[in-house]
Amino acid sequence: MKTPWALLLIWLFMAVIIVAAYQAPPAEGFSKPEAARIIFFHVPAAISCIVFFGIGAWYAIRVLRLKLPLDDIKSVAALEMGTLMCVLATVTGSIFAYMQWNTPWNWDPRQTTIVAQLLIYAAYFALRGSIPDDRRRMVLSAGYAVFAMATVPFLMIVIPRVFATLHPNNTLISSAGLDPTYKKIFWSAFVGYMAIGLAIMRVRIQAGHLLYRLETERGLEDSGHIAATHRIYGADDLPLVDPAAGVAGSEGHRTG
Amino acid sequence: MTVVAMGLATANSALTPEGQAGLLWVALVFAGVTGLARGFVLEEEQGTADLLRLAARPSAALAGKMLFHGALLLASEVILIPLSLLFLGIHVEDWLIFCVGIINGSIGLAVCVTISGALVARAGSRGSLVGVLSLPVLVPMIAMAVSTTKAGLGAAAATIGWQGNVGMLGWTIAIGAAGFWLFDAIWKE
Repeated sequence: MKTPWALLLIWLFMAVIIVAAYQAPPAEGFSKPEAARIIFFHVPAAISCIVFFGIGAWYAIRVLRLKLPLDDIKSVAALEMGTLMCVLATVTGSIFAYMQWNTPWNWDPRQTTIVAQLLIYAAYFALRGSIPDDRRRMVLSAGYAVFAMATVPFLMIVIPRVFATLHPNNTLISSAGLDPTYKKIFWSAFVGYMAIGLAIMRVRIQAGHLLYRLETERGLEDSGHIAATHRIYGADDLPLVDPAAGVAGSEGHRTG
Repeated sequence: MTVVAMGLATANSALTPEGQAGLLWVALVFAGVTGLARGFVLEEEQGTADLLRLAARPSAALAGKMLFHGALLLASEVILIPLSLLFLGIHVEDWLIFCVGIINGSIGLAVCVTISGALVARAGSRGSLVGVLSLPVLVPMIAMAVSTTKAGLGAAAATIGWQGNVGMLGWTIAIGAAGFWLFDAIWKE
């Protein structure tokens, strides 16, 4: 499906989720039951963030094994989406905390670990920014992405269960957790978040491809080694440079 | 210096065991990050890294550096911890939990900072980047180490102390396994 149509469908889907969130009955057991509807936006953002960090780590593993720039572009795009979802989860969480606990920040283990998670991925982008050489940046940042992913289960699962927290644990998997209406809206919102994130990630990957192609072709054209593009590109779905046709051989070869 | 500064700052105030546990780990992490970061970075700066690449397999080089850093950190703790106990007025209730927590945390600290140091050494910029990369990754371990030390000082139940120790061990294994797996690619790059 073409990206603009997919984005329109996702936009409509999320509009329905927002309406459904306001139609849901107030959640009993909270100090301000009306405000508890923010869980439809806060928790799916937190779960999406873990999923995107996982996708980023998966492509980082591929980078370390295959050294393909295309995988690096995908890894960065996923980690950027993960960081964005992490920021959204933190902001919506602070609003939720202010509504329920009268303070936006109280160093609850879950609040602390999500900030640590943000710092880890901020360090990832700092590392990328500090390496001028393209190939070295690709490999070292992929290494750090894998290293960072090893901390995610501890930050998101272990620590909130070891330390006393105001957040409820196991609400999503326990039968006594969310009621069926809340469950339906909640998981639909998660699907919506993931669809939005994947759509943005796709646009980001396309932009990354384009930039990479422009830089590579410009560099190779300058050095007179256009044919080398075939060896270093490695993308399945991108038109490559045809040495016979010159720089912009859009109908050119593909590599596996 | 860190311990003396902390001792001076808290000279006329009674610290709670929670505060003492936190300050002790600030001193340990400070010693670990500033000292251990020199490992691979120093090899690159002195130009001996290429020789090391020729002489040893990547896993052997990483294991060697980890062992060296772990031993160095434990040796510095032999001085640092008695000084901390003295200057901060720390009273240990359960020596077993306290010592296992310190050893466990130091191993985790050495493993994490060695891998971060390897990443930074291969990057162009050095120095402060080790702290930027390793400190956020260390947060889960420091949180568990502080809870273990609190249990050792009698400010938390022994069960929490042992849970923290198991958590730290798991964290070190996860980080170490990831480190060994990715070091080969980093070291040859």
